[in-house]
Parts: sequence; structure tokens; C-alpha cells
Amino acid sequence: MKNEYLKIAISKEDFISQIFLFFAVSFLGIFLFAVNREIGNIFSWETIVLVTSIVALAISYHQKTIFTLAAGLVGISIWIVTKMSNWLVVDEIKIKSAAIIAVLALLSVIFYLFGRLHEAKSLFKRFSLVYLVFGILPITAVLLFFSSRPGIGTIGEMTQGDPIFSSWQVTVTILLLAIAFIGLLFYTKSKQLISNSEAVALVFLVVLLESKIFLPEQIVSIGASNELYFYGQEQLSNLGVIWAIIYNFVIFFQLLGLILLGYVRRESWLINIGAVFLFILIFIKYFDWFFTFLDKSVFFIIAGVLLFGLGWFMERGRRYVVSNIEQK
Amino acid sequence: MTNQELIKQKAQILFSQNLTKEEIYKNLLSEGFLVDEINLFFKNISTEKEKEENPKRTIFIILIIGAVLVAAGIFSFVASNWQEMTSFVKVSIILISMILSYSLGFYFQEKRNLPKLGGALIILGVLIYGAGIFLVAQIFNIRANWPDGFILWMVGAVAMSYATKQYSLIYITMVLCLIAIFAYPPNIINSISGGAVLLTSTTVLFMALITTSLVGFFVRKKFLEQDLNFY
Repeated sequence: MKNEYLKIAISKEDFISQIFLFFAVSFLGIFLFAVNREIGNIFSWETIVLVTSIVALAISYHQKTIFTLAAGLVGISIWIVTKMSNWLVVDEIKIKSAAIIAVLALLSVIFYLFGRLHEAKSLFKRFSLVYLVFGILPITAVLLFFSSRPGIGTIGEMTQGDPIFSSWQVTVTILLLAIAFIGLLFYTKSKQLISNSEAVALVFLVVLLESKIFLPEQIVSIGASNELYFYGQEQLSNLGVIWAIIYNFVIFFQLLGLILLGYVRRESWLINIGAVFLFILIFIKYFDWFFTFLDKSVFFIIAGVLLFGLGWFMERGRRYVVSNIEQK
Repeated sequence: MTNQELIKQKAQILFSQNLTKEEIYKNLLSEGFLVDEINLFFKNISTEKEKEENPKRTIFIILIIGAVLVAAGIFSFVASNWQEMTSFVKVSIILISMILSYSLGFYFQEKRNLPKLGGALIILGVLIYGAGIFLVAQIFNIRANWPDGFILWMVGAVAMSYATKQYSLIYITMVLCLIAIFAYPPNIINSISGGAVLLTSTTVLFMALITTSLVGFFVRKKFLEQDLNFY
């Protein structure tokens, strides 16, 4: 049935079995933690997370459950990111923490491509949705963060330190993920599972987020500290302004792209995600730009009125586009 | 006869042949009915079903509130007379009220054909059973991690749900599982200073793992047999 795959569960039995298998995976993780503690912490907690995630993924594919798939993907991401942060300090040398964002970005685009890959088979259509969501959400959240003042400050901090080549684990992880991304990109493109514009957008996002690991330290603020806060008095340096412009443009066009993609592919959930993030973006931008300039009462009144207008626009526009899709 | 009445007539025959919704849909399409008309028919069915279900749901909610209040009353009685009662009396009250509740529930559900009332009494029995676990632990000063109680409660609730075919008990077990899942990790982490986690907790956790896996796989198997079309 149309859009049946968008449902979390298609019946009461489906929901109950999925949630209990999810509980089983959670209890497996906790049980392994407890046993590990009893035997004197032989394994690290990251290893237990990895083992539990692999079991969750195996159950997902065997039983076609999406709750355990989501848990498995989150677990794998947590494992990679924590491992990366452990590898970033080698013999008291601190390596650029931009590597974490680089890995997260690569993982996200890989999940996205996996999503498109699963879409081809109706049996795995629901899996596809989970992969796509886990591909889109982290990358959008990262772009949203980098487009704000604290985010630009973080760019400065993340580019401090030694090059990633100081740690072979970091280098190999990024290299392997990059190879996986390129391989999947070519495969999905050759099977016509993604459009040209989607492929270009993915490559652009990867290049943008990976570029930081090769850049020298970015001085993004004028002052002693290279940190920026929402309400601080620190001024952006010229470089900071350039990064602010780049990320604000990228996040704006990425969200527009999501909505457009939803329209072209007749996927209303993509339009909804795009609309929600667009709303968050406008809200953050308003705080970012006007909080320190305007009188607080004027600030909140204008914010309220803007939200009413935005809500009205989103309700009308989103409903129009979604109903247009459903009619077609 | 309107088209909707015609569809209804045809659909009733098809429903009696135990065909799936999709098959009935295809059948009606091949009979020459329009997609919009068929959709309208299915929409009307679900609205009628909802109308039928609403009063039943209200009765069940009222009965559940009743069960919760009775359970609260029993435990406030035990708590207020805590000092005066011997351990034997305390445990007896818990056991008798639990057995009574289960027996009445089973009687009303199976013998009197009052599934809502019977179900509510069985739920009351499960609530008494769960609270009983914590009371017994307190009475006899049992050394254990407190989330263990929720897992023991969950296992009992699952067994009762399976025995009485009460789906609503499954929702109670979900809440119990969630409490245990959130409560255990801090307990394990805090045990760094105090040494290892109690061995009983590990055993109880293993029991939780087996129980939830069995429920998950068992219900899934049943579901996959029914909905093979979807997968």
C-alpha cells in the first residue's frame, strides 16, 4: 500500500515484537556491562557497545525490525566517534578534533547512500527510511551548528593541533570511510538510485566537512580566545565572517534542497524534515543576529509575531506541496 | 442500490472468504468500482469500527482506574499498619489479595464472558504482585539492586499476559522494561567504588534478556505468518 513503509509499525503485533526485540538488545548490552564488571573490566565499554550494536543489526536484518536497526546504527556511530576521540591524543600530542566531524560526516553520507540502496527492494523499504533519516539528521545538525556563533568558534578550536597523520588509526578510519563513500556513490549512481544533483550535493558536503582536517588553525575571532558564544562580545575575524557566510549559505540551500528533493521524489517526509529544520534555522538565526542588538521586550514581541507568520506560511506551503504530491 | 451499498455487499462476501484487505481491494477494482469509491468504503468501515471501540475503551479505562485505586488502597493499608503487623500477616495480605484478584479476574473473563472486568482484575493482580516484590524485599531486608525488582515484576507480567491473553499487560511490561533499562546503567557505574555488581543482578539481567527475546521472537513469528504480504 502507498506510504505503508512510512509507518513505524503496521500492526499491534509488529510494534510489540519490535519493541521487545529492542528491549532484548538493550538488556544484552546492560548484561554484558554487568558481567564485564564482575570479571574485572576485561573489555572496554566501547567494545560492549560495538558487540551489542552488531547483534542489533543482525536481528534487524533477520527479523526485519527497524527499532533495533536504529539502535544498531546509533551504537556503531557512538563506537566510532568515541574511538576517534581516544585516538586523537597520541603521546600527549593533540590531533585536530575536526577529524571527529569528518568521520561523522562520512558516516552520515554512507548511511544516506545505504538508504537509497535499500530503497530498491520493497522488502527493505522501511530500512531505507531509517538509513536516510540517520544520514540526513546528523549532517543537517552539524551544518546548523557551524552556521551559528558557537559553531564558528568550534571551527577555530577544531583546527588546532597536529595533522591527522600523527595517528595511524585516525588516518586509516577516515581513509576506509572515504573509500566506502566513493564506492557506494559510484554504485548507487550506476544503478540510478540517486540523481546527479544528489550526488553533487553529497560530494560537496563531504568536501566541505572533510576540508577542516587539512586546514591550518583558523583564527575566527578578534581577541585572545578563539572561542565564540551566543551572547559574548567577541567579534568575528575576517576568516570567521567567511566561514559564517559559507555555512549559512550551505545550510540554507541544503534545507531548500531537501524540500525540493522531497517534491521531486514525491516523499512528503523529506519536505516535513526540511520544513522543521528551516524553522529551527530561522529561530537560531534570529537569536544569533538580534539578541544583543534589540531591547529584550521588542526582541520577544518580534520573535512571537515572526513565529506566527512563519507557522502560517509553513502550514499553508507545506500542506500545499504535500497535497500536490498525494494528488499526483 | 448505490455504489457504496454494492461495494459493501461484495466486500462482505469477500471478507467471509478470509481474503486480505489488498485482495479485496484488487477484487473490487476488477469488478469495475472506482478507486475513490473503494477508499471511501474502507474509510467508512474504520470509522464504524472506531465508533464501536470507543465505549469499550472507556469502560476498560474506568476499570483500570478502579484497579489502580484498589491496589493503592491495599498498600496504603499495609503501609499505615506496618509497625503493628508481623511479617507473616504482611506477606499473607499480599499473597491473598493477589490470588483473589487473579482468581476473580479469570472467573469473570472465562466463565462470565466479561473480558474487560476480568482483564482489569488481572491487571490489579499484576500490580499487587509487583508491589509485593518490593514489600517482601523490604520485610526480609533482601540485599539486591532495586531495578532487579522491576525485572522480576516484568517477567511475572509477561507470564500472566501469555497465560490470560491480556494484551494490555504487555504495555505494563514495556513500562517496567523501560524503568529497568534506564535504572541499571547508573547502578552498574556506581558499583565501581563498591566492587562488582551483585551476582544476582547479573542473573536477573540474563533473565530479562531471555524473556524479552522470547516475547519479541514469538510475537514476531506470529506477525510474520499473518503479514507475509507486507514483507
